[in-house]
Order: sequence, then C-alpha cells, then structure tokens
Amino acid sequence: MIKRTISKMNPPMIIGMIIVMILLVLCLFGDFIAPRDPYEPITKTEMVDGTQLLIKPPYPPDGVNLLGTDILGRDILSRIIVGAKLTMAIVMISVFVKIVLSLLFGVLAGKGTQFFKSLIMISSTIGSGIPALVLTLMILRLVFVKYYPIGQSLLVFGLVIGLVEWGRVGKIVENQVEQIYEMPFMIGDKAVGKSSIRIIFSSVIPHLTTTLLIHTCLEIGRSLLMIAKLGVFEVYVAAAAMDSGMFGNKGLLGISFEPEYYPEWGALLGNARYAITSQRLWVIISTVIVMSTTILGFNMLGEGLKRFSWRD
Amino acid sequence: MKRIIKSFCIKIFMFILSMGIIITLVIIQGDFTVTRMRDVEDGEQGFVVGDNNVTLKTDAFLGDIADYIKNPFVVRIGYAGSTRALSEFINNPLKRTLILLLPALIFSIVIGMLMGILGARLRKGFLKNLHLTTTIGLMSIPDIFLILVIQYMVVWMYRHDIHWFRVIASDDLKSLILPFFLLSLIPTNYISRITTVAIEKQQHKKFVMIAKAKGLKRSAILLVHIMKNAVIEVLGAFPSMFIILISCQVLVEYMFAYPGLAYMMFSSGGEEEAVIGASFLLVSFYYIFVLLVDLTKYGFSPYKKTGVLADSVLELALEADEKEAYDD
Repeated sequence: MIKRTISKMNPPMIIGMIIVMILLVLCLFGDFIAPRDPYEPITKTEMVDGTQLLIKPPYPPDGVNLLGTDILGRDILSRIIVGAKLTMAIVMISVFVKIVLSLLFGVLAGKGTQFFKSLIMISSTIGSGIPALVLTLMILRLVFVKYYPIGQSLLVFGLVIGLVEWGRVGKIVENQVEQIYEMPFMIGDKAVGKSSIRIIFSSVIPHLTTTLLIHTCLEIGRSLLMIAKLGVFEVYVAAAAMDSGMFGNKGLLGISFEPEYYPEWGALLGNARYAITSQRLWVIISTVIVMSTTILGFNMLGEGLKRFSWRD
Repeated sequence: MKRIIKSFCIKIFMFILSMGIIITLVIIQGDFTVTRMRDVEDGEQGFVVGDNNVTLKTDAFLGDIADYIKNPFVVRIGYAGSTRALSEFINNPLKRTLILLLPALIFSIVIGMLMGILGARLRKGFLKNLHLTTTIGLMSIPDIFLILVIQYMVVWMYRHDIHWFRVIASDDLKSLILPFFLLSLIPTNYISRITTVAIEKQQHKKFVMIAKAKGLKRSAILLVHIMKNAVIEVLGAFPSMFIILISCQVLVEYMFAYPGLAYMMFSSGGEEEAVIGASFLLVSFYYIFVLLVDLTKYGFSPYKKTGVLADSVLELALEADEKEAYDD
C-alpha cells in the first residue's frame, strides 16, 4: 500500500514546489522577514591592551549575523532575503521575453512561414556562435548600462538575457508545433473549415501548454545561472549606484572590484575572487547555496511537470 | 554535397552577422568615439557620437566589418589604438587559448566517447547506477560554482603547504593542470552521456538482435553495427559540446587570470580592436568546428552511397537527427 502510494507520488514535483513556495514567500515578504537592514553596515570592535580597536569587515558568522557580513559589514542573510525579489524580477522578465517571443515566432515558424523559420534559425545559430555569456557580458558591460537606476537596470538585464537566449527555446517550440500540425486531429480541424488563427488558438496553443510550462521552469534555472555568471564577472544591476572608490584602483588583495549596493544575488557573487583568495568563504558560500538550491528547485519542478504530463 | 555547400554558405552568412553584432557592441562600448582602421592610417577620425545625438555613418560601419573580416587573410589582423598591430598582442593569447582548448577538446571527445561506451556496456547494477548518477549529477552542477569550489580548495591546500596545484594559470604546464581539468570535465561528461544514450538506443534494434543471434562477439557488434550508427548521433552533439567548452574557457580564463583570448576580451582596458580580434577568433573557432563536424557527419553517413537521391535522403535523415536532438 505504502509502496504504491510512494510510486504514485512525484518526488521531483514535490521538492520543486516546496523550494519555489519558499522563494515566493521570500519575494513577497522578504522586507519583513530580513533580520537586519540589508543596506546598513555594522562595525565591530575589540579591546587590545586597553584600547578599543575597530575590526575590519567582513565579519564571520556569529549570533548576530548568522551568515556573516560582506566586505562593508552588511548582513549577508538579510541581503539574500531582500535580494530574492530583485533577482526574481530579472529572471521573470527574461523568461517572459523568451517564452513570448518563442511562442509568437515558434508557432508561426512551425506553421511553415519561411520568414519566421529563418528568424529562429538566425537567432539560435548566433546564440551558439557567440557564447551567450560573452554576448550578454558585452551588452551589459556597455558604459551607459552601468549608470541606469535600479528600475531601468532590472528591465535591461531581463530583456538582454531574454533576447540573447530566446532562439533556443524558439527552435523547441517550432519543432513541437510542426509535430502538432502532423497529428490526425489537425486534418479534422482543416476539414471543418477552421481558419488558421482559430486552429492556432483552439488546437496548437493548448497542446503547447505543457511543453511551455516545463521549459518555463527550466529557463528560470538557466536565467538564474546566467545572473550568477554575470555576477562573478562583476556585472550586476545598477553597478554605479555605489561608486565609493574606497578600494582605489588596486582593490583588496590586488583584486579590483567595486562593492554592490543593491542585494541582487548575482551582485553578491561579485567579490567571489576576493572571497576565495582571502579564504573568507562565508562572503559568497550562502549565495552559492541559495542560488544552486533555487536552480535545482525549478529544474525539479520542470522534471516533475514532465513526469506529470507523461502520466496523463 | 549540396547540403554541405548550403550549410557552408549559411555559416559564412551567420559568421558575418555575428561579427556585425560584436563590432556594433564594441563600437558603442567605449567613449562613443569610433575610429576606422582606414581613417587611422589616413590620420583622420572616422565618426564621433556626440553627447546627446548619435550619428552612425553606414559606410564607415560596414567598412569596419569588412576590414575586420578581410584582414586576417591579408597581413595583419588589424590595429590596436593607432600604433600597434593587433597581431602583436593577439598572437600570444591565441597560442595560450589553443594550448588549453585543443587538448581539452580532444580529451573530451576521446575520453567522453570511451566512457560512454563503457557506460553502455555495463550491466544493470551498482556500477551502472554509479555511472548514471555521476553523469547526470555533474550535468546538474552549475559550472561556475564547480570552478569556485575547486579554486577555494586549491587556495586552502596552498595555505596548508600543499603545493600540488596553482590558483593562477600561466605558461607553466604545472599551472595548467587544474584549468585543463575544469575545462574538460563538463564537456567530457556531456559526450559520455550522449554516447551512452546513443548506444543504448541502438542496442535494441533488430539488426543488433540478429547479429547477437548469429553469435558475433560483443566487441564486434559494438564496433561494426552499433557504433557505425551511434556515431552520427554523437557527432550531432559535438557543436553543443563545443559551446559548453568555449563558455567554460571564458570562465576558466577569467577565474584563473590565464591571459588567453577570453581573458583579453574582458581585460583589454578599452582596446576595442583587441575585443573584436578576440571575438573574431572565438567565433571563428565555433563555425570552423561546426563545418568540420558537418563534413565528418557526411563522411560517416550511410546514405551517401545511395546514388542520385543521396542528398535528399541525407537531408531528411539529418533533419530527423536534429529534430530528435531538440526533442531530447
């Protein structure tokens, strides 16, 4: 009995749903859950020979800062919690762009329109020829992008990530639509005299829903991974918001970097090289774990949806 | 052959388009001052984009694209700034990138395929499960986090006087061990998985059953019957593997401060032509590799000897392959 119940369950979907629900809570109530102000640095002192000396941040995890602080002394846990909203905003914009363009052009290409077939082919081939990371970096490192305020910056990041990678998803949709058009019920639709647009809305799009749902989940994971990579390359939203210049040109330990202001997850990885070289792993490890778990969560949700659709 | 020529023409077009995109991005990247190579030679400025208005001279822009594509085939790749030939500082990064990229590519293909064959030959049990879990597990780990974790371990080892590896890569072979390992790990794993799946797909086909019934040796069935068909599917995955490899190359060069092409692209200090030159070479690698794969695929294809209809049959077969790959 128990064995049958377990075999009927869909573990990837359950695990994926739990992770996504937690993320949703962080996005909606992050500002209230965060234990400290994510923008406010703290300072710590120690007594040496009767003199109170200031300890330079980053501070390791302790009772006050559960995950430690970053190089300016800001609480990492709070920054991760509050940053969920900003990060997911970029991810959602990029996935929206990918899915909308793929659906629009993929359906028309799958129907047999040569122009859209070529458009998808060009987009996916260019996306392969120039590695997506290189192309995204080249666009987002443009000088004026750095100076955008947070709202515009989030929009530009989302749009660029979406536009660079939509061709691959478009190709998948195109192939799927071609398969749908070869199905027997399509002959029936044509025989009863349905118009092309009606066929698309009544027969093609409903059959695409599962594929699109699965790929939406997978693309969320991909976009998050791209944000992480961009972060390591020190490319993140509103990068000029905190032009402190406090580390000069050489930076800490000879590694030049500018600390981020907004707690977007990619930005929290901006000082990865510093964290590794100085062996202060807590500066990035929690962000790495949170991002990996989120990517895993969405991938599992996608896998779970796939299993669910096969069962039907 | 018609398909190969068509594919060649499409790739040339795509290459030009890709370079157009890169050059456009680089041109608007810096201080908005665009200087054409020809103009540099004449001592003139190409065109300037003002504070609020952007004036793009089409002939200057198209001339730039043409020059950057044409020049590698002439004497020098281009000019960096106004004095140095780009070839002066692109030669060494190119050599360094190739020192890392080519062995990693060969290693990924050879070892990946061997591991894949081995994985497919394993009978159900602990080893088979271990192979499956390892390959799928490695494919799920984000490459950037893998690099970060391994780099951290190396720094930790270094601090504890274990000097096996180095965190910063240079021309010294010892320092290249870790970048090479990280670069080839994910592509090898990818090829291994694709090979296993391709072989397992063939194993249940009728001609393999008949060969088994005839009493042929397992190795003979694998080499003569299964691999002959599976290899086309594996070849189809090579372009994707190369994209993964190039992406890893960018990450590895940046994280290990290895002064190759990708590192030069993001640390050339505003040398626009350096970025264009480096992208030109990286993009060329991809298109050359894909063309080579197309030719190899054609060479292995069982349809090429079927006479007049060869091209159309091959076209259908390749389209079916591509479709299947996307479906997977």
